[in-house]
Amino acid sequence: MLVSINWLQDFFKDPLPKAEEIARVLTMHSNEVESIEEINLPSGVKDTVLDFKVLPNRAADLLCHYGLAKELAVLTNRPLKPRPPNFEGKSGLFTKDYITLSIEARDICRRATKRYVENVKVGPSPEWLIDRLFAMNQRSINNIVDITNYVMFSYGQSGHAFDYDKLDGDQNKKDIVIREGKRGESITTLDGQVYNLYGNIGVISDGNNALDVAGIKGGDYSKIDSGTSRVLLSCCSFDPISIRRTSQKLNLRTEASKRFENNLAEEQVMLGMEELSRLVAEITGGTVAEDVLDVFPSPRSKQVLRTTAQNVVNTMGIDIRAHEIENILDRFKTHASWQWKKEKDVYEISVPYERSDMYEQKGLAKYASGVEADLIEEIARVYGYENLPGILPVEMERQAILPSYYWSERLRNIFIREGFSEVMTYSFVDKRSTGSVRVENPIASDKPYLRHSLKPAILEKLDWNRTYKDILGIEQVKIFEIGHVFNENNESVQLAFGIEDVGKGYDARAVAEIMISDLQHEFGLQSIKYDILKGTTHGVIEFEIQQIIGSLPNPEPGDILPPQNEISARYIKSSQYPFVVRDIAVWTEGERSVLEQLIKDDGDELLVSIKLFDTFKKEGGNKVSYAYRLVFQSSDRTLTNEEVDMVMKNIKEKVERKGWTVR
Amino acid sequence: MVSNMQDNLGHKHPISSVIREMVDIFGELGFAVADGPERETEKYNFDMLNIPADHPARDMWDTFWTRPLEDRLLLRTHTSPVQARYMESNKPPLRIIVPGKVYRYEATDATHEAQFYQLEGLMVDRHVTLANLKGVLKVFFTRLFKTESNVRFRPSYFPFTEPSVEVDVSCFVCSGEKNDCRVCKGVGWIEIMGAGMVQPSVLNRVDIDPREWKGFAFGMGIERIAMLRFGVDDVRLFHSGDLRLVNQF
Repeated sequence: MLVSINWLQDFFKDPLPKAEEIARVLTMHSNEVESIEEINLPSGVKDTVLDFKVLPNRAADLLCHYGLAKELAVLTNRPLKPRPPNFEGKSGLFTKDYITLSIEARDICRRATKRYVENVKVGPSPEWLIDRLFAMNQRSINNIVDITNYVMFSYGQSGHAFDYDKLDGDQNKKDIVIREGKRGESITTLDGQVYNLYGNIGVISDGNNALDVAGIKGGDYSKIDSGTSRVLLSCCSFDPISIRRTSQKLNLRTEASKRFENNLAEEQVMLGMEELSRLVAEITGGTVAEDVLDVFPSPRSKQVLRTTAQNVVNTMGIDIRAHEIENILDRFKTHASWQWKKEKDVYEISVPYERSDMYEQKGLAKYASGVEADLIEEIARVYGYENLPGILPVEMERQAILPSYYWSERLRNIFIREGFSEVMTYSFVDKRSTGSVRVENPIASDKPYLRHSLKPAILEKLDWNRTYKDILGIEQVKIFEIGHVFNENNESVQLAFGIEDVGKGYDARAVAEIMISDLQHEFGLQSIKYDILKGTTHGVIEFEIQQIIGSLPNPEPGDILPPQNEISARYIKSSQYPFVVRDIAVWTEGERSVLEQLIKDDGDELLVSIKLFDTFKKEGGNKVSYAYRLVFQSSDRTLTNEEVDMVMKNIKEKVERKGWTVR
Repeated sequence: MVSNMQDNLGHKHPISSVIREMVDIFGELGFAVADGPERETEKYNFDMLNIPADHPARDMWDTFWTRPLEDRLLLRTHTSPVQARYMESNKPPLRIIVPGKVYRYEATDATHEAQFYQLEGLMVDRHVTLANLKGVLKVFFTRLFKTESNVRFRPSYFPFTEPSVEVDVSCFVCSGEKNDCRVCKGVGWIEIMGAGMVQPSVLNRVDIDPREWKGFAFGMGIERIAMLRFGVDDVRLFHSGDLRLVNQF
C-alpha cells in the first residue's frame, strides 16, 4: 500500500520523525517498507510516499492510514490526536423515511448501513483532497466520489454513494435489497464494462436493478454526476471468501475487493459511515439524515486471548520481564483500543474488532487464528526481534544420512570422477513427448507435460553443449542428471547420463553400457535395469535410483559421504557473441608454463580458452612441440578475423623473440 | 580472460554442491535429510500447513495444478509439505532438513524461475525458542559463508509459523562496509529466508501436542544463495543444462 506521510501526520499530535526512521521502525517491527519517494503534490506542497508491503494477515487493518497510524503509535509510543466528536445529522431528517433496507444474501453480506443525504452540490474537490488522492495515484473525479475513496484510504472501509433519484421506486421511498445476482441479469460498471451476473455474486439492488457488484465495483446506472442532489451513502461488510471468488471469477480486482477479501471487520462500517457523512456535509454542503439504517444480522463479541509471561519467555527464549510485557500491552491499550487485565499469572486481552488476524474466523475455525500464538507474536515483534540473542539448542548427535540422498551423492561422485558434468533441466516437456501427466496451467503452452523420462533432455543438452566444446576446453561432452520423473500414479528419482558420439569408429552406446556394468561392479550388484535411448548414436542411458538404494544397506549414523571439494566462487559470465578458434604449435626448450603464460598475457581479455591438444618430442632432441587450441571471444562484440589475426601475430612475435619457433 | 574450466574432469552442479555444504553443516548440528514427492497433494502442500483454500494467503504460493483437477494434485510450491509428512510418521524430538525442487506458477525472468530448489529446516523439541532458531542460523551462515555472520529477524507472515520472521544475514562479502558492494548494495544485510515458530495448529494436525512440544522451521531458496555467492546474474542458467556454467565449478 502507498502511505502518504502528510496523511499519516493528520492523525498525530506531534510531528512525526523522518520518513527513513518511520520506515525503519515499520520494517523492523511491523511490515516492510520497500521504498521511500518524495513527490510534489498538485497544490505544490511536498509529500513523502512509502511503499508499504502489507502481508495477508494484516491486510484487514493496515491497508489504511488510520490503521497504520495506530500501529506506529504503538511502536513508537507516540500519542494520536483524539477522535473528533461524533457527527450529528440534521435532526428530523430520517433515512428510514426514504428507504427500506434488507439483506437477502446473508452468506455474502455480513452487515449493511445506509444514510440519506439531500442538497448536495457535486463539483470539484478541494485542493487538500486532490492532494491526498494524488499521493495514492488516484485521479480526482468529483467531490462525492473522491470522499468515498478518501475514506477507504484513510479508514480502510470502502463505501459508495448512489444517486438517490436514479434509483427505481417511489420518488421518496426506495427499497434497497442486498441479494444474489440473477441468471440473465447483467451490470454495467462505472468504467463501462458489462458483467453477466448469476447466483453467488452479491449485488445491492433497488428492488429492480443491480446497482453494483457488491464490495467490488459500483454500477454506472446510479452513479453520481453534476446533476445529483440527493445521495444514498452506503457502507457494507462482505464475506471475504465470497468477494474473493467473485473477484477471481469476473477477473475484477479493485481497491475495495482487496480490502474486503482480506476480512475487513464488519464493525468498521460505522467508522466509515461516520467519516463519509462528516465529509459529505462539510465539502458538498449536503444535509445528512440523523439516523443510519443498519442491518447487522449476527453481531459478535470481542475476541479474548490469554497468555502468561512464562509462555512468552518459552517462545522467545529470552528472559523478558512481566513489566516489559505490561508496558507493551499498555501501549496497545493507549493507542489501539486493546483492553487487558492480569489475573494471577494470566494476561487476558480483549482484542479490538479491526484486528481480524487475531480473531477466530467464521468458517475457517480449523485454521488457527484467535490463539495464544497471535498474542505472543504481537508482544515479540513490538519488543523487537533484534533484541533476541542467538542461543544454540542442546546438542544432538549426528543422525544417519537419508538413503536416497546418500546414494545420490555417491552416484554423483562416481559420475564426476568418470568425467561427467552434472546438469539440471526442466521438469516441463513439450507435446511431442509422451509425458502422461498434464499440467492444468502450464507457463509455456508448448510445454504442458511433466517429464516421464530424463533422456530427451540429456540428448538435447549433449547436442547443445557440443557447440561449445572449444570454449569448454573439452574433447567430448559427457553429462548426467539426477531428477524426479512423473507417471500418472507415481513419481520416481532417475539418473540419466549421456556420452557424445565423437566419430572415428567410437561407439558411444557401447561405452555407455560399459558404464552400467562398471556401476554394477562398483556396487556389487547383480544387475541394474536401464533404458538406452534409441534413434541416436550418442549413448544415453537412464535408470531408477531406487533399485540401487533398495539392494544396498542403509547408511548407519557413523557413515559419512565422501568429502566435497571447496566450491570455486569465481563465475565468469558467458559471452553471447560468436567465438573464433585458432591453433598454434611452438617448438621450445623452455617451460610449458612460461609459454602458456606468455600466450595468456598476449591473448588478454579476448582469450577465453587455451587447451593443449598435442605434445611432440623428437627422439634425442631436447625441444618439445606444444600444440594449443586457442579460443577468442569478446563479451561485447563480434570479433573480426583481422582482430584475431593481430593477436596471433603478436603472440608469434613474442614467441620468436624468446628464440622459440612457431611451427 | 581464461576461465577455470580447462579440464576433462566432470563437474558437480553448483546447486548440488551448495545443497551438499548445507547438508554437511546441518548434519553436524544433528539435522537429518528428509524428502518427499514433487507432485504433492493439496492436503500436504496447503491444508496441513494451515493455508486455507479461498484465502488471500494462498496467493503467496502461485500453484501449478496437474490433471485431472479433481485429484487435487499439484507441483509442490515449497518443501514444507515434507514437514507435515515427516511429523506424521516420526515422533519428536525431531531435527530435519529438506532440500528439494519446488515449483511456482509465475513468469520467468532473470530473477524468477518456475522451478527452483529450496532447503527447509524443522526442529521440534520440548524447549525450542526463537532464540534457538537465531543461534542455529548464525552458526549455519557463519560456516556456509566461511566468515563470522550475524542474523537479523524482521516480522513476517507465513500461515504455518507464528511468530513468523524474515531472516537477514550480514553481508558475507563486505559486512556492510562497502557502498558499492555487489551483493548487499551497501545495506550490510541480505534477505535470505523465511522462518518462525511452528504454528500450534500445524502440530495439532500431526498429533503432536503443542503444549508439550515446540518447533521452529525455516526455508530458503538455493539458487538465490548460489547467485549471491558466485555472482551468477540469471537464475535460469542453473536449469539450462549449459556446461559453460557448470564446468566453472
